[in-house]
Amino acid sequence: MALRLFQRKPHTRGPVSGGVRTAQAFVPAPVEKLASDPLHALCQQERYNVIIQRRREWAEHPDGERLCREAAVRLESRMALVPAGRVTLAQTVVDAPGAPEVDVEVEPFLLDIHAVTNAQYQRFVDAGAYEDFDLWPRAIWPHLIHMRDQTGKPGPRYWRDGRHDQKLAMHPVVGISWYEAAAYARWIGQRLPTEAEWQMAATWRIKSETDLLRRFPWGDAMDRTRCNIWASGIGHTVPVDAYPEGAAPNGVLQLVGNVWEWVDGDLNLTTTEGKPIVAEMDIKATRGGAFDTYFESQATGLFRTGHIALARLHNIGFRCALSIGDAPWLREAV
Amino acid sequence: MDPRPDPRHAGQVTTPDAQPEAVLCDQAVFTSARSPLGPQGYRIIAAGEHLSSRECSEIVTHAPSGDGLCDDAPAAEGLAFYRLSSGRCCVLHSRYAGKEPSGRGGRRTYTLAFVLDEAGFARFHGNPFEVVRAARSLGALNQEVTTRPSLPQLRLPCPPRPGGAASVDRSVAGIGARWISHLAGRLLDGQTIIADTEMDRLALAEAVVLVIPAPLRSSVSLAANLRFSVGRCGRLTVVREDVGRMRQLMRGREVWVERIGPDRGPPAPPDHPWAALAERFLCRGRQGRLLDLAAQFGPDDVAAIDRIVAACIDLDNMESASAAELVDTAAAWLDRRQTSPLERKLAETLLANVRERLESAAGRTAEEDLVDFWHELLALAEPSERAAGLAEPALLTALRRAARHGLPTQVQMLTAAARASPRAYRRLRTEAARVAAALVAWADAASPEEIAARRQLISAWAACAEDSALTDLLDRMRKIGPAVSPTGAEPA
Amino acid sequence: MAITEQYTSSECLICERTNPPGAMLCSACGAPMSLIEEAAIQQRSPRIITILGESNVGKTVYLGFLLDMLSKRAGGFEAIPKGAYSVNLQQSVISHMNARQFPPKTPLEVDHWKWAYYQVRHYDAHADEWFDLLLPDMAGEALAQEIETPQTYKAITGLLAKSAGALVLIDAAVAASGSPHPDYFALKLMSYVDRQFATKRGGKARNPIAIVLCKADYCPECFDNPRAFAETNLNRLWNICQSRFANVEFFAASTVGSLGFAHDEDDNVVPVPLHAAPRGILEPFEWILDRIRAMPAK
Repeated sequence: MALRLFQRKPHTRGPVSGGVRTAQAFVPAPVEKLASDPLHALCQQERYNVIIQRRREWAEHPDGERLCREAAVRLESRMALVPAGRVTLAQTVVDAPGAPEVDVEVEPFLLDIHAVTNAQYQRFVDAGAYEDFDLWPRAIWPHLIHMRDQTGKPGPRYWRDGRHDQKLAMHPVVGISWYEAAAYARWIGQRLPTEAEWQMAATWRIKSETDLLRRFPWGDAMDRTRCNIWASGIGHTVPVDAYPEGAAPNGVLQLVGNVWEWVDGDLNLTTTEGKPIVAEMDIKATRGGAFDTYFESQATGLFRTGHIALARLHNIGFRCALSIGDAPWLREAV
Repeated sequence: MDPRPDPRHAGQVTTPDAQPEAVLCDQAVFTSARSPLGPQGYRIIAAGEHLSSRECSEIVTHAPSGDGLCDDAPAAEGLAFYRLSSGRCCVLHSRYAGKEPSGRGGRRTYTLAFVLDEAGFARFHGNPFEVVRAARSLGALNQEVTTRPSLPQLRLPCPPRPGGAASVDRSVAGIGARWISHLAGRLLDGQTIIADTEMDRLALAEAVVLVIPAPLRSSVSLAANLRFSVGRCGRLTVVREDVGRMRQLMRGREVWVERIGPDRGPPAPPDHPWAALAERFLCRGRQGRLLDLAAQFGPDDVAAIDRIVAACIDLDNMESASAAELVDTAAAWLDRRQTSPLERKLAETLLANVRERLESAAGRTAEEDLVDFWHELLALAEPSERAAGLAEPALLTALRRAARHGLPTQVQMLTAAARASPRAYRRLRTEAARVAAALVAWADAASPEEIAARRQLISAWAACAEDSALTDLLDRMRKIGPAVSPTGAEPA
Repeated sequence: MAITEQYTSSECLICERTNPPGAMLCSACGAPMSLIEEAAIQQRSPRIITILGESNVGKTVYLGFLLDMLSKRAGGFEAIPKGAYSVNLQQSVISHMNARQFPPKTPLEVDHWKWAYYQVRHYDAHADEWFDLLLPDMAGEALAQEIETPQTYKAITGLLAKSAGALVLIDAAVAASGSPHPDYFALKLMSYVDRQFATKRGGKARNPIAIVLCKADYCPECFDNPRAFAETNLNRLWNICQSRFANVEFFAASTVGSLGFAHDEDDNVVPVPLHAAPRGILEPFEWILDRIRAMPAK
C-alpha cells in the first residue's frame, strides 16, 4: 500500500495568517488588561529578566521579593543551559570538503526552550513597543512606519488590528523582521543568540575527547516525525511545544523546523571563488529551517543561511538567549 | 527589422568599368544581454534595417546559444553558413564573450551574422570563411555591440584571389588528403554529413568547401565547431561530440555520421570523379592547382565536371607522357567537343601543352626514331586544321633535324607529308620551298648520274606536292639526264 | 487518427508531421518521437500543459519543483514519470538548487529542451482517473521569438495548438519594481495564446490558463491577493484576460526562500539561492488539472 504522506488540503481563498490559508475566519486574540502596578504589569508581560534586573526598584514593594523569586523560577523553567563548546562555521555557500571554515569557541549560555509565540509577542505590541524608540536603532526609525500588520496597525505582518489570530496563540510569531526580534529580546531583558550559540545548541558539540557533534538536535539522521519541515507534510506552523521527540539534550524544542530563527549576526558567506554574497541590504543569519524547507540538507543544525534584515516573512521567527553573566538568579549548581 | 529586403539593395559596390571591390552586406548580432528595458536572454540585439523579420527569425534558429562552441578555449570560434528563405546567404561567426550576464553559469556566445545576396557571396568565391576574413580585416569581429539597435551595412572588401590555402595545408597535414576528398565526395554526391573530429574543425570545413567547385559551394550549408543541434545541422557539420548520441538524434534521416581522423584509418576512396581528382592533387602537394581549378568553375561548368576532371588528369599526366602518349592525348582532345567554358579553357591549355611538348619531343627524339615520329605527327595532323596547327611546330622541328640526314631524307619526309596530310604539308610549304631551293642548288652542282639517281625521289615528291618549283626542277633534271616521266617512271 | 495508428506511421505528437520509422526527433519541429511512442503504449493522447514565460522568469525551476513534489506525492497527487528522460529536468533542478545554484539556462535549441511525460492522478477525488501529462520546458527566448515571428519554432506552435491548458509565469518581482516590461510581454504572450486557443465561433478561449506570479518572495503582498496584485501591477495582462479568456486564475508562487548575489569574474551579478522554500507551486497545477478534467481530451 502506498505510504500516504499528505492529505489533500481544501482549496480555499481565505485570508492568510502566518503562512496558513485558512477557510476559518480570523479570530482576534482578546485584549489583556494590564495591571496598573508596574511590577505586576511586568509579570503579566512575562518580562522576568527585567524584573530581576530592576530588583532594587522593588525593594519597597510588598510583593517584590516574592515576585523576583517567581521570576527566577519562571526563567529557569523556560530557559535551558547550553554548555560550552566549539562550533565550526562554513564560510562558503557550497559546503564541500576542504572548503574554508572558522572555528568559534562558545561559552555556556541560556536559551529559550520555545520560540517566541504570538501570545508572548502580543504583549510587546500592546505595550506600545513600536513607538518606544529606545528599543530600536536610530537607523531603523524611518522603517518603523512599514512594520505594520494587514490593517496598518503596528505589529507583525499577518496580524490584524494589532491582534494575532487566537487559534495561533501558541504558534511562533512570524512576519517580523530581525529588528523586531531584536527589539522584543531587548524589551524582555534578553537578547538574540549569536549564530555560534545557536549552532552549539543545535549540534551539541561539547568539549570532550571524542569531539562529536550532531547534525540535528536529536542525533545525526533526519527524522521527519521529530520536526516540521516540508517533507513532514504539515504545510504551516505548529505550536511551539510540538515535536517533543525533536528536543535537544537540554530540552530545547524545534531548533530544526517549524520556523527559521533570527540570530544575532550577519551572514558572511562567500562563493567558492571567494566573492562575498550580498543583498540589497544586510543579510542577517537565520537558522534551523522551517515548515516549508524543501531540502533536508537545509534543515540541519549546521546549515547557514540568512534573510535581509527587514524581511517579514511567514516562516521566520526567533527565540531569545541570555548570557550567564546576565543571569545572577541562576543557581550555583548550574 | 520588419521591412522586406530593400529591392534596391544590389549587394555590390563597383568602381566604374572595373570588377567590384567591395560587397555590401547586412549585419545582425545575436547574443545574450541584459537590458534595462526588460528583455533578457539570447535574442537579436542589433540588426540592419534591411533585414526582414523572417530573416531575423531564421538567424535565431541557426545561431548558437550559451556554451555554443565545441571548444573550451576562450578564443574559440565557430562558423555557420545557410541560405535563408529569402534567397540571401547568411554567414554566422560565433565566439565566446565572457560569462552569461544572467549569472546562471556558462559562457556567453556572441554571434555576428552577415547577410548578402548570392551575387555578393559569389564575390567571395562561395567561401563563407572568406566573408569572415573580410569582416575581420575591418575589425568587425572584435567590436561588441551593446546599445545600438540598428547596424549599418558593412562594406566587405572582396578578396583579389581565392584564399584559404592555409586551411587546406593544415587539414592535409592534420587529417589527411583522403578524408578531405572523402567528405567532399559525399557532399558532391548530395549527402548530408556530420563529422566528429579532434582536428581543427574550422580548417577542415574550409578545406572541404574549397575543394568543391565554386558554383556548388552555396548549396553546402555548414556548421563548424558549433555545439551540435539537430536544428542547426547543415549539409556539412563538423563538431566535437559524442557520435553515438548524434547518430541517435539523427535516426531516421539520411545522414552520414562518423568520427574521422588519422587514427580512424583511411576511408574508402571517393567515388565522385572530382573528389578523386582532389585526392590525387592533395596527395601530390598540388593544393594550389586544385584550389585554383575549383575556383575557376562557373555555373555552366558544373554539368561538364566529368570531362573537366578528365582534362585535369590528362594535363597532370603530361609531364611524364611519352611522345606517343602525347599524340594520343592530343588526338582524343581534338576529337572532343567542349561544352563548357572551363572545359574549353582546359582543353586549350592541354592542347597548347601538347603542342609545346610535341615540339620538344621532336627535338629530343632519337635519330633512328625520327621518321617514325614524323609519320605519327602526320597522322595527328591530318584530321583537321586545328590538328595540323597543333602538330606544326613539331613537324618543322623534325624536318629541320632531318637536314642532318641529308636532302633525300627531307624529301622523303615531305613526300610522305604531301601524301598523308595535305593539311600538314600546306603548313610546311615554307620549309618545303627551302628544301626545294636547296635541291635546285644541288642540281646545279650535281653530276647527271647523281641527278638521275635522285630523279625518282624528286618525281615522287613533285607528283604529290603540286609545287611549281619542283616541276621546274624536274624539267631541268630531265634536260640534264635521261627523260623521266612526270610520274617519275623512267622513259621506255 | 487513433493513437495506435499515429504510432505506426511515426506521426509527431506535436506537429503531426510524418517521420521515418525509428526517428528520434521530429524533422519538422524537433520534438522527441518518444512522446508518441509513450502515448501509444498508454493508448491515449496526453493532456499537454504548456509552461510559458519569458527568459529568466523561472520556468525551469518551477517545473522542476512541481515534478519533484508530484513525485513525492504532495498535495494528494500521485505521479509516475514515463521514460527516464522525464526525470532529467527535476533531477537537474533539484540537484542544482540543493547546491545553492540555479540550473543552467534552458538552451534555445529545441533538441536540447527537456520534456516531462507523467501519469498523474489525485488520491482523494477520482482516484482511478489517471491523466497523462506532457510538460515541456522550453526556452523563454524561443517563446519570445515565436511571438515576434510565428512559426519560427514549430514545436511551440504545435504545443500550444494541442495544449489543454497553460501555466503562464510572470516575474512579479520585476512588475512590483515598477517596470512595465513584464506587463507588455504578458500582453504579447496572451495575444499569441489567444490566437492559438481561438474558438471557431470567435468567443473567449476556454482553455484554462493559470497566471503564476513568480518570485513572489520579493513582494509577499502577491501571496495575499494575487488578483489584486495583477490588476494593479499588470493591468494590461489583467484586461486582456478579462476580455479574451473565460477560464483564467491568478496565483502567486516562489521557490527561493532567500536570495543573495555575488559577482563573477566578469562582474556579472550571479544570483545565489541561499535556500529553497517552494510556495504556491502545486496550487496552480491543481487548479488547472481540475479544469482540464472537465474538458474532453484533444
